[in-house]
Amino acid sequence: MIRILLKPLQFLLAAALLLPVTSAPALAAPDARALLKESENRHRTKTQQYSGDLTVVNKEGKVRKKGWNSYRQGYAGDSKNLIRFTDPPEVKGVGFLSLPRPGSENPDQWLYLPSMKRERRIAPQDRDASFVGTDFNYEDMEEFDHEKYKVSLQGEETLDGQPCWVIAAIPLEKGSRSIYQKLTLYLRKDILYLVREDLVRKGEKEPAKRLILSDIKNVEGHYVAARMEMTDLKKGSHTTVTLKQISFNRPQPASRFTLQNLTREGGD
Amino acid sequence: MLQLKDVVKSYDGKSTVTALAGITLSIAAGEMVAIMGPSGSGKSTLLNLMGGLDVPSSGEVLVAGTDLAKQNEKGRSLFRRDHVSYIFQAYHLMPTLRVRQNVALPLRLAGVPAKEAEARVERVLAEVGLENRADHLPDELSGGERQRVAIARALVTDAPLLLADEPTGNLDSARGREILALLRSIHGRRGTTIVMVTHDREAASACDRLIRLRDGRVEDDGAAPGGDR
Amino acid sequence: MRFLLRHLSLSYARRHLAKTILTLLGVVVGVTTFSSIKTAQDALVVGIGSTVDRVAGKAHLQVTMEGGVPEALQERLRNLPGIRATSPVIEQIVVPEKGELGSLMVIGVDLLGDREMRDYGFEGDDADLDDPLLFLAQPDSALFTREFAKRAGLATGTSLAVKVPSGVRKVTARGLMSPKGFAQAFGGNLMVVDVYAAQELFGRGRRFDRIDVRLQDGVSVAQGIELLQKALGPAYRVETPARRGEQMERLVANFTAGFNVSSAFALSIGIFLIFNAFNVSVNRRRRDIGTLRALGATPRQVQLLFLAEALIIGLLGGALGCLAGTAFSQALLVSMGQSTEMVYGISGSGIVHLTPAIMLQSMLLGLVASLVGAWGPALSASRISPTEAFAKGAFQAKAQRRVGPRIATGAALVACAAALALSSAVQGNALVLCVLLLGGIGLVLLIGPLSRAVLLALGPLLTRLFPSAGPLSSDALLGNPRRSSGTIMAMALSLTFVLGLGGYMGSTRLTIERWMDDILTCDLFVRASANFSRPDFLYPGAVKGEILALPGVRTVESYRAIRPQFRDRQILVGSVEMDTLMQRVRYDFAQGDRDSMREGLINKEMCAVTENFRDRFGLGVGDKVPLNTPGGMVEFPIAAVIRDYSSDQGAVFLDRKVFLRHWQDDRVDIYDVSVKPGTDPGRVRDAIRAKLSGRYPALISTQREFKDEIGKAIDAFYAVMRITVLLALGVAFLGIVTSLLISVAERTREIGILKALGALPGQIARSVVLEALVLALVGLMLALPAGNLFASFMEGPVARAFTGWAMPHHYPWEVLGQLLVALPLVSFLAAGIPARQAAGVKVTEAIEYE
Repeated sequence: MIRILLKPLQFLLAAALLLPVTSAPALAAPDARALLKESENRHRTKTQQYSGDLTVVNKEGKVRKKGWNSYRQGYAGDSKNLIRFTDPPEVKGVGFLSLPRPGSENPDQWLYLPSMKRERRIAPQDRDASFVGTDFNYEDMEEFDHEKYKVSLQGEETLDGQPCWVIAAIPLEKGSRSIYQKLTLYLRKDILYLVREDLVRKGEKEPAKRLILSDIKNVEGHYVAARMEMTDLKKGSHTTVTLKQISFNRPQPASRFTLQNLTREGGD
Repeated sequence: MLQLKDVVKSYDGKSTVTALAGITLSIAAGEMVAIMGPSGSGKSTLLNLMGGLDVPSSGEVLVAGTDLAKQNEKGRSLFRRDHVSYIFQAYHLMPTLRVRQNVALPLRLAGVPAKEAEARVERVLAEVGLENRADHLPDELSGGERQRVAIARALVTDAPLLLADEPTGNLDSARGREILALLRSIHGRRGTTIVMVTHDREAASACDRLIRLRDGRVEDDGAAPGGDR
Repeated sequence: MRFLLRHLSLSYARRHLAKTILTLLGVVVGVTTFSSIKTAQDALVVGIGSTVDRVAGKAHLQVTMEGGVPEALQERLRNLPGIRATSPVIEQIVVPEKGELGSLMVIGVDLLGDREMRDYGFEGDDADLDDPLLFLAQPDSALFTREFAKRAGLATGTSLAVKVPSGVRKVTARGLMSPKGFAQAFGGNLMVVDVYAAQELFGRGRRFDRIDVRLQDGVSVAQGIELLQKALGPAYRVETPARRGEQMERLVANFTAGFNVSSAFALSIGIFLIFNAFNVSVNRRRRDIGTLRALGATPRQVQLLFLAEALIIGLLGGALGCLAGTAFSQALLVSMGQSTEMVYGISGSGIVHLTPAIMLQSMLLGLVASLVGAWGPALSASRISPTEAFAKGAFQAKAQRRVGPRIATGAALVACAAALALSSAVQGNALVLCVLLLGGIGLVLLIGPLSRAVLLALGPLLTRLFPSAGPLSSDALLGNPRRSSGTIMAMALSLTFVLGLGGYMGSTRLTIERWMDDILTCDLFVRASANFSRPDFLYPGAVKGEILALPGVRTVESYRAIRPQFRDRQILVGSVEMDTLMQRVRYDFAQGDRDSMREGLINKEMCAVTENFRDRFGLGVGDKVPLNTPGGMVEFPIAAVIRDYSSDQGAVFLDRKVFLRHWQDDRVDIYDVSVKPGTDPGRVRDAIRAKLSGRYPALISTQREFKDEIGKAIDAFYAVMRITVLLALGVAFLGIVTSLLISVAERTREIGILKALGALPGQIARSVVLEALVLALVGLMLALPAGNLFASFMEGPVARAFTGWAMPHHYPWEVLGQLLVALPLVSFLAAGIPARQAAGVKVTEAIEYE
């Protein structure tokens, strides 16, 4: 009963609070869900594309570099995503496609290997497997969608001189499955942009990995972190993606995010 | 026939044992000699050196002009085959061979053709009086008969030197006497040089000459006493 | 007792060190043979099991299907409840171009997600998959174990040439695995590739060999099996890895069971050697024993003394034999492994471990063998009276016993064995054991007196043939009849074994060759796999049309064989186009005839079964064979029973149309190609080769070549047996050496006298060689009839029991011929050391010997 009554109240409250957020961050703590929603609204773009440089540095300091082009259509829970490797020549043409599934299920993911001329579907059991040898796993490759999490505000913290909201997100697992027990999100207060994520695996207490988004630029009126770094705190390795030639809201051909295109020779 | 010059034989063990301590003697062809002495005086060693079964530590052993000390194993074997024959106290017959085969053994070893060997075996068996025992096994013979087989085996090669090691040692006195008489008559008939090691005075007295050994040295060398020659 | 042992036995052993060592050798030989065979056998069987186990990793269940699991199954499995993870697997054995590296087990897995299943040991400092993306993107990628990489000189990024069905391929090492868990499978000779690359490489099409399944926590294995079986239907087999391993183990264990016979055989020979040695030792120490007795030792004490010596020798020999056996077993294992790979397509890892169980068994065996061997001599020693012992020279010729009852008993036992073999009162392993035991004891009883009679008869002949050495040898042989007959016994038993097994192998080969002449009548055989029992690659069915279209080709038949389980046995289900096949082959029918088979198979969906199938499962004409197909259980009525040697477990034949209908799998093992009259098969072969080249692996053999290759497979099947035969010869060889060494040692005094009588060293040596020769040849003479009996037994009851095939008897002339050449050589070699020893005897020492 109370919850039903509270809900509209929450909304009102959130709306009232959010208006002055940018100008008056020191006000009483807002609701985490509302913060995330606002963040999503603010940064939502129809499409995004960039070419990325991928650097994997393992514990011993050995460095592997790759290049890819990334295309996205939609945002968060309904985004479609295609990655195509461009460099080095040995892996050129390898593709990764992620398509949302109806309801709240995990998205479908495929990896395409030109040498075999066939795609292979990533099974739910493999969500924890490393994405092509990086410190990202297949679950990390999904776009973050706060609706799949139970979120709560934990407090505030200052990162690199920027005050941030600290939000705990616990996977709801309604129809979908996650390998994580909890994510801790750090949202920059001024622009409500996600700058850090601590990932705690199921059954563990300490975060296993940490994602840091930095080098935040404004491109075509949209904030974007031009550098993402995922650190495996246990293995001591880290993977960096630097984004170049970023553009937003360019029309994407509808056929781009299809299996057919994924398996097409040289299909982008 | 036989000449020993300064023959020394010692055995190296934990301490060196000297069996023969410098023996010089010569035996003429056709002699019949007895060697006596207490146990350990070197009798058997001396006999072994004479037959080329062993080599001296120093000195010369000349048998029929050959210095056995300078021969290798094979040379001594060949020399033995042609010049020396043996009689042992314990006969040492091959238990599974018949008398005839036992006697023929040295001939066979020397490669004498079967026919010739057979004839010679018949002859020596007659000589020792065993012609009717030719097809028996050694087990089926008495001690005296066995020793006669051994003597026949020694004679069959016509070797000029016969070495006998206590030939009567295992026999009662009557049988012993028979054997001595046999050796005596062979010596008379064939002129074979016979050297006999013995403990038995009676046996010694059957010989022409007696050499006494003590502690590896010749103690006495002279005519055998009271010989019945 | 302790006092006696310490003073009497030990001083004797010290004084006669060489002889004591000889006695020991008897135990060592027996135990070595036993433990090496047993160790290799165990290592092979366990290796196969543990490889299955290790490769399975964390998988609880494995889903297989005859002909391979379709890819789509994986998706079906993933969607089932209770499943935590699934992972497709393809397994294949390949050989590196550098053959000395040993066979490699290739495991194709989906590396994307396989870590749920297997621990690759990449984690940590010492292991690394260099670049997973590169691994997946390049089809030549492979992982190796560190251990193998080291042996092959491989580093990450360098490549290794391996022979795969389509030829030699270079694979590149993209990562190394640490030697733990999974990477220890197959002795570390492991190569991991991407499962989809493996499909391509090994012609699996869109199928996997199996899918490994890991269940969710809380789901029991039994529940898992039930769940999967219900969801998948009877065409799929759902098993735990352990059970799969067990089945393979059983198959291989059956195959290596033949070794048990050799083990038993080696041991009995060992007992002979010990018996011999102790006998001699008793004789030699007769005077000591007499003295002991005169001093008041009871007969019991004397017996115990000898048994105590046997105990010590047994323990020592057991331990030494155990160690020597382990050394030999590695070589044995390699050969066994090659055979099982060729015959069943199953390979184990190649590491031998001396297990405590085998160690214990070996020790026990050495102990029991020496006690058994020493029992008789110890008893006879205890019966020596003091006066008798002091009598000189008399005892040697006095060892005769009453032979009448002995011969009668021996003959009766052999007759019993024969009767048992012919009747069907006892079956299987028990039959083999009973017959061998009865026959063996019978032979042992017979051989003693017989060998003595033969030697006595041979004496004069020897003397005539070899005037100088002959009498010496004859004297040596007859001088100690027990030693001689013991050696001859060992020899005769070995040769019986050799002739028997040789005869059996020869008959089998001949029979199968005749059968091949009737069945393999086409001109060319096109196949993709070198291994007959494990298809490394299958052709798509459409290739038939391509071959048929080539000029000069008259007919093409597509042969496909699958090997499903039928009542716990792996039978063969073969299918081919029966209409054209039956026009060219001549079947030998046990039931039914040509017309009924033709009509039944082609028009009525019936099957033909082989005679051994009928005998094994009791299914003949009028019965039905129920077979699992992807669509469920189908019963095929039997139209005819044919004599056929395709599988030792039994075979069922179907028309190809029927197979295609029920199994929905058109892949082909072998295309049988007949050419038009007047066409040169060689030209057609070139044309086929050109047509298939670059697309499929193609091993194209002419009729002659194909038959030769099957011949090689048969040889591989019997390779194990051939080793046994060699072993038998080896044991016989050692028997002769030991016997001669003892003979020489025992006759030192006699040899000395002979030398005093003018024997030359060469003559003495020659007489020893002659002695060896006589021992061997008399052994052979006695083994001839016995070997013949044994061969008949193997060809008849044993072959029927284990393969379902009865082989017509074929006298092993070639084996006999080989033996007649080999034996003199062997005995000559065996006499080498003893002869040298005899020739070197010092006269003076020898005479003073007593």
